[in-house]
Amino acid sequence: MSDLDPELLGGIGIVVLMAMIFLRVPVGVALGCVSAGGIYLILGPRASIGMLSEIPYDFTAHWSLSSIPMFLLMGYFCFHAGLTEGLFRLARMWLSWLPGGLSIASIQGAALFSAVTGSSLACTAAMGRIAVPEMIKAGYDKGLATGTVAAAGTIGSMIPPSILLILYGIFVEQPIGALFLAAFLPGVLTGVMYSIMVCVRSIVTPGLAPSTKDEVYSWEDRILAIKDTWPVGLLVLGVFGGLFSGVFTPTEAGAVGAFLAFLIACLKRTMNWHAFREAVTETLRSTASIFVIAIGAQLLTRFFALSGVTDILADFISGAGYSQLQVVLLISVALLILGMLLDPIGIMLLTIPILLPVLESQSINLIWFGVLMAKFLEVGFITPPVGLNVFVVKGIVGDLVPTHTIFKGIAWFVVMDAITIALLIAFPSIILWLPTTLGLI
Amino acid sequence: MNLIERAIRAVSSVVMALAAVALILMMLMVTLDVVGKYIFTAPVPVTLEMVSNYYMVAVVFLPMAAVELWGGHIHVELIHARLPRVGRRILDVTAHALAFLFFAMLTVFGWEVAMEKFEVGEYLMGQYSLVIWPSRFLVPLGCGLIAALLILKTVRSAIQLARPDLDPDDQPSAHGATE
Repeated sequence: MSDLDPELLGGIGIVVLMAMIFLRVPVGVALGCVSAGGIYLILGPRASIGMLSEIPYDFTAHWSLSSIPMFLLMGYFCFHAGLTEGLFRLARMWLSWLPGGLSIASIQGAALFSAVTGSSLACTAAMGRIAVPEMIKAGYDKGLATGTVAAAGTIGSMIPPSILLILYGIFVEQPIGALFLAAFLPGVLTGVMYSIMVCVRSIVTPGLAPSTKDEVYSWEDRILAIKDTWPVGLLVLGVFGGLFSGVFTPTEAGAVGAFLAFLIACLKRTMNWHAFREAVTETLRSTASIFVIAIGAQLLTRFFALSGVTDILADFISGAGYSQLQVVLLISVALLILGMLLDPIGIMLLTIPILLPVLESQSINLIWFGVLMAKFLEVGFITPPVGLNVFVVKGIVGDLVPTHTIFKGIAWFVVMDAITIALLIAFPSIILWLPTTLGLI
Repeated sequence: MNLIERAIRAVSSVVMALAAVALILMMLMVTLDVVGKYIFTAPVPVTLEMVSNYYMVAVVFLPMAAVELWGGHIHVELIHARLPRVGRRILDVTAHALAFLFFAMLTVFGWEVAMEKFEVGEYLMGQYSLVIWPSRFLVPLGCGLIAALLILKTVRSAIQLARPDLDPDDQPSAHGATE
């Protein structure tokens, strides 16, 4: 055991942890090593070994966490079996008459796709492959074409299901159904704000997005496009209707959703061995890498609680007499900076053990904060230097568009996100109205 | 050394297939349970226990080595990609060694717990009792496999650090990012 104060050890732990992460130690491993070492120094080897033997199994063998692989599987089945391919076409038929119509169609197509996937990266990859070539073919500015898809992908983690929000809900012990509902309007708002911006910019800057007004689709075609995608709509209605009415638990909603997606793909004859294998493999890969971090974060929570370092931070902030708004703004700045540097799930699980005592001492609504946090982390997906969505788009376009052009195309979307976030802070009811009205909180 | 890697790859793909079976069983069992519960008022027994104690543990721990083989667990490239070759290799050796240490600890302690539970014949009581000690062995199985892979990677980057002529000097990739 060490002579050092537990609080001081906690502080040192945070510094060592950040250093390890920046030196490319895998995030989950860094969390685990720092926590094991810290608890060893505070309580000795037995406590440390005890924690390492119990937490990995006990944390994983958890019913509500099983909704993560199930929702992932649902999204990957839909994607790999091509159930979502019609979404962009559908959005295009209805929206191409608008200025910047193809870009707006990509944004709304991504919003539709968000309802079957809980991941920004999957959403970006799916839309990118379909929409970017179409926009470039129509003579769109390359920055706008690629930026649109990278930004629109962030809606994937807002509109339910959302892997980020499931993890948040489990770590702060808030109902996942309520979090999903709470994030729905902010997700829609994000899409609307992006669309308005694209529309205005296309009018103001000629040549940015050549008009596709001459693309005339008859009403029959438009209705037909809806008919083409109705199974996915039915799937979404069934899954979330069941979840929000309280008939399904999140795991049940995810499992039924995955099963229905599989069934629909079989009936449409788009399911084959290759698609099945890809979907299962990607689900397993994502699940395992998310859980390594989550287990590490669980160890870190134990270490921080023992060291008392987070209580000091909470006391300090309440002692300084900051208002709720000031605390939220302070946290926002921290999240934005971290968001530029680290992986979103890593940031969320790393900061929750630190932030939760602060949030609770300030009696900040945890549902509202969770959605706000998800939104902040999504902005981190598209900001330099490590905007993950940008790299997904880059992977799709190859040498056709340089990375800095994509980042330039993102700039206006980030401006719109700033406005959206300001709205969410100024009017918390955008987040809280839906779950309150439907009686989930 | 390539032989060892081939062996690890082979075992890992078998283990990954087991994880895939667990994932599909999870989906089917929960769906059947829902159908049973609401249509026939006859839920499938021990669904919750099977999902939590068997399928989840398998789905999380068995693919660990496959994830590492595919491109690594989530890490941050920011500084690494900007360093000269020697700096990158030093960081690689450190990161792989630490990761090995972590997963080796999970393997050893997980194994001890599993043996303990095996000796007492751990089971869950309820309307139907369910033996769960076998699921305890999934933790050391998955973690042991990735630990073996990581020690191989540690040795390999140490060799590359000492012998530049053997260093393929790989390009930084966008792998390992997931959500």
